[in-house]
Amino acid sequence: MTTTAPPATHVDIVLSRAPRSAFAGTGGLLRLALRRDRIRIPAWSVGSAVLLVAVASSWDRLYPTEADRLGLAQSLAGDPTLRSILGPIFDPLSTGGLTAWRAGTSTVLVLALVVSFLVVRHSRADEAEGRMELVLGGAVGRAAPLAAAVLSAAVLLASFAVVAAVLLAALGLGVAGSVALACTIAAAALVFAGVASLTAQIARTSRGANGLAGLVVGLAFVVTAYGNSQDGSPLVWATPFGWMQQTRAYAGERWWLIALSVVVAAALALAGLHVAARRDLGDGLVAQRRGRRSAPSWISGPVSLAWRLDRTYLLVWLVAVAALGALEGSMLTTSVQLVESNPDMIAILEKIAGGPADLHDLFLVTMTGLFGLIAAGLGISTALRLRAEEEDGRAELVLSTARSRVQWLLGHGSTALVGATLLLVVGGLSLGAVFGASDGDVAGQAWRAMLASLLMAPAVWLVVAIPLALVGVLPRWAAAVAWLVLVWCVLAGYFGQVLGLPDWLKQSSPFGHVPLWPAQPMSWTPLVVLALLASAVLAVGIAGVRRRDLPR
Amino acid sequence: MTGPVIDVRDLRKSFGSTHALDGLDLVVQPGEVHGFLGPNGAGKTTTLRILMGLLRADAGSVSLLGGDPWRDAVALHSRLSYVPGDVSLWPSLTGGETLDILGRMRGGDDDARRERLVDAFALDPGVKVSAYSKGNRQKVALIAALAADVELYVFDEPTDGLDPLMSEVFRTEVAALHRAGRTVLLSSHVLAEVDAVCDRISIVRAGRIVESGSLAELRHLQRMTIVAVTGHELHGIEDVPGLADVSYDGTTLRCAVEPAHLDELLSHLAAAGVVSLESRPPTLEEMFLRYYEQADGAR
Repeated sequence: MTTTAPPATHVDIVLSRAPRSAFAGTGGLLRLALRRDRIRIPAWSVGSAVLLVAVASSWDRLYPTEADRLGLAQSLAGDPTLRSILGPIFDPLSTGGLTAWRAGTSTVLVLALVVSFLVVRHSRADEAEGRMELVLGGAVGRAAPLAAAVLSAAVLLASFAVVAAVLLAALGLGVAGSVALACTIAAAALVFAGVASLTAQIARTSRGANGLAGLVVGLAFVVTAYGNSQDGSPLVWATPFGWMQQTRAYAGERWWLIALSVVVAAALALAGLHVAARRDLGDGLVAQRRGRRSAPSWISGPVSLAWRLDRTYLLVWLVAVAALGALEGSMLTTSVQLVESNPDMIAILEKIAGGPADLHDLFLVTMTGLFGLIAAGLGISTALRLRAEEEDGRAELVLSTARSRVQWLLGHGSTALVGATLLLVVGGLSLGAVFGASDGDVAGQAWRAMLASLLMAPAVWLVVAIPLALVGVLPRWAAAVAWLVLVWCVLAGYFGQVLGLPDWLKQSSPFGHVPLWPAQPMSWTPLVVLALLASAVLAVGIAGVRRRDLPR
Repeated sequence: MTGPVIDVRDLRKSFGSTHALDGLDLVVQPGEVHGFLGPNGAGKTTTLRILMGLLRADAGSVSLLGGDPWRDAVALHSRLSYVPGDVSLWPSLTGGETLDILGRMRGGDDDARRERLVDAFALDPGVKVSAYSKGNRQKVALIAALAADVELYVFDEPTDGLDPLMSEVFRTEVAALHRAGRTVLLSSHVLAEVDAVCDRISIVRAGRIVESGSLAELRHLQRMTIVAVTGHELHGIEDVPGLADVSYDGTTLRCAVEPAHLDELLSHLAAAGVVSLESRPPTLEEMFLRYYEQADGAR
C-alpha cells in the first residue's frame, strides 16, 4: 500500500507542537465546574470572607482603647509561637492591622487547601474516575479540563476578594488596606491552585494529587513560620504565606507582592497546562507505587480490615490534634496573661465554666471541650465510611463472605469510637506536656490534661453512636443527621451564651453535661448516663443492621 | 446432597411501588451449571441478593444449600462464593491484599489454587486497586470467588468488563468446576456466555421466570430456520401450520418452522423435488427475542 497522506505543512507542525486547540471547550467545562460546585464555591468564598470580617469586627469590643492594644502588642511581641505562626504585627493600633495579622495567615491556609482540592477535583479526580475520557471524546482539548479547573479556583478566590474587600471597607477599615488584604490573601491562595495544577499531573490518583498539594501548602507554612521566628531571615520572602504577610495591608501596602503571587500562580498553572496537553490520559509523572502482593495475616475480618483502611486517616488526625494541643499548650500561659487584665473575658470564660475558677483550669477545660468536638467530627466522618462501603458495593462483597452484619457495622464503628477516644488522649497529653514544660512538671500536667480531655469521651461516644444507629435503621439520613447533631453541639456549646438560648436547649447537647473538671468539681453521674445512652444508641444500630435490606 | 442446591418458590420483592420480583421460581440441581438469563432490570440481581441474604424476601420460600439464606447467612457463606454484579474494591489495597482478605473472610482458601488463577487471568497482584482497569477489578473478584473450594458458585454478570480472551479463561474455569461436580449459578444478559457454559437455563422477565429447562429442551420448543431449493414449484405451502417469516421466489423457500410441523413441511418439500436443504437450530439470541415478542404480543 502506498502512502498518500499530504506532506505536513508548517501550520500543522506548529499546531501539533503548541496546540492551541488544546484549550478547545474550556468555557463549557468551566460552566460545568461552576454548576457542579454551585454550593461549594459560594460557601467557601463567602464563608471565608465573613469569618475574616467577624475577626475584624471583634477588636473594638475586646480591645477598645489604644492602651489596650499597646498592651496586647507588647504581650504578643514576647510570644515567639504567635509571631512565628501569624507573622509580625505591622500596625497594632489600627483594627485593620490587627485583623491582617490575626486572620490573614489562617485564611490563606484554608483557602489554599480549598482551591488545591478544587483543582484536583476537576482535573485528576475526573480523570481517575474515567469521566474525563468521556469529556475528551468530545470536541474538547487536552488541556481544557485543567484550564477550567484552575479558572474555577480563580473564580472562587476572586469572589472571596470582592466580598471581603467590600465588607472590610464597609466596616470603615480603610479602602486601600481592605483591597490589599483581600487581594493578597486571594493571590497567595491562587499560587497553591497553580501548585495543584502541577501535582494533578504528577500523581495518578486524586488522593495522591491532593496529598502532594497539601504537603506543599504545609511546607510553605512551616518555612514561613520558621523564617518569622528568626530575626531578619530571608525565608519570610520565600513563600506565598510570607508574601501575604509582608504585603503590610493597612500599614503601608506593598502592592507588588500581590502581583508577584499572581505571576507565580500563572507560571505554575501554565507549567501544569503544558504537561496536561502533552501527556497520555491517565498517565502521571510518578510511576504508580507498587504495593505488597499479600495482606498481613492480622487482617481477616471487617474489623481488622477497617483498621487497615482507616489507620492513615486516623494517624493524620492524631498528628494534627497533637500539633493543636502543643500549640494551645504553648499559648496557655500567654492567654492567661492576656485575659488577666481583661475582666470581660474572665466573665465570659466563667460563664462557660459555670462558676469562678483558676484561669489556667478555665482555659484547660475550654481546650478539652474543643478536643471533644474535634473527636466527634473524626468519629462521625469515620462512622460514615460504612455508608460509602454500602453505596459503592463493597459491603455486598464483605457480607457475601462468612462474616456477619454486626461485624461489618463494628468495622468502621470500632475505628470511629476508638479513634475518637485516642484523639482525646493524644490532644490532652500534648496540651498538658507542652504546658508542663513551661512550669517544670511535664508528666503531671500531661496526666491531668489527658484525664480532663478523657472526660469528654462518653459525650463523644454518644454523638458518634448516632450515625452508627442510623446506618442500622435510617441509612439514607445518617450523614445529614449526624453532621447536624455536631453543628448543634457546636452552636449550643460555643454560642449558646451569645445567642441567648434557654438553658434546656443548651443542655440538649451531650457536651453540656460533661463535668468541667478541674475547673469545677468532678461528678460521675452524667458520665455514666452518657455512656449508657451511647450503648443504647449503638444497640439500636446493631439491631437495625441485622434486620434491614443491605444494600438499600 | 439430594435436594436442589437452590429452591426458590413464588418469590416476591418490592421496592416501594416497584415489583422487582413477582412470583419467581428457580430450581438449581447439584452439579448443574445454570444460566440465569434476562435483560437488565428483569430481577436477576435482586434474586441473587436474596439468595446471598442481603435482601429479605417479601413473600415466597427460598432454600439455599438446604438452609435459609437470611437466617443462616454466615454459615451458608462459607459453603459458597459470590461475585456481585457491580464490583467495587478498596482503592488503597492491592489486588493481592484484596484476594487474601476476601479469602480469609470466607475461610478455607487454597493458596496454590489462587496462584494458578492469578496466572491464568494474568493479574498483577502487586498493583493498587485504584490503578486497575475495570476489567482488572473484575478479575480480582472472579479469582477471589474461584479460589474458594466450595459447593456453590454464584456469578452476577461475571464477564462484564473482561476482554474476550479473559472471558474465555473464565469459561474454562467454569467448565472445570462443572467437571468437578460443583454447582454454578451464572446470571447474564450475554447469551453467548450462557450458551457456551450452561447446561440448564432459566429466562427471567419482569420478575418472573418465563422459561426454564435444558438448552436442548428449549431449542426443541423453538422454530428451525429452513432454506430449501426445489426442482418444481411448491404447492400448498400455505396450508402447513406453524410457519413464519415465509418467503418464496419460485425456487427458493426461506422460512422458520416449529419443530412439531417440520415433518409436514419436509413432505411438501420432498414432493416438490428438493434440490438443496439447509436447516439451522435457533440461536439463543433468536429464542430470546422470540420470548419477548410473544410476551409483548400477549400484552
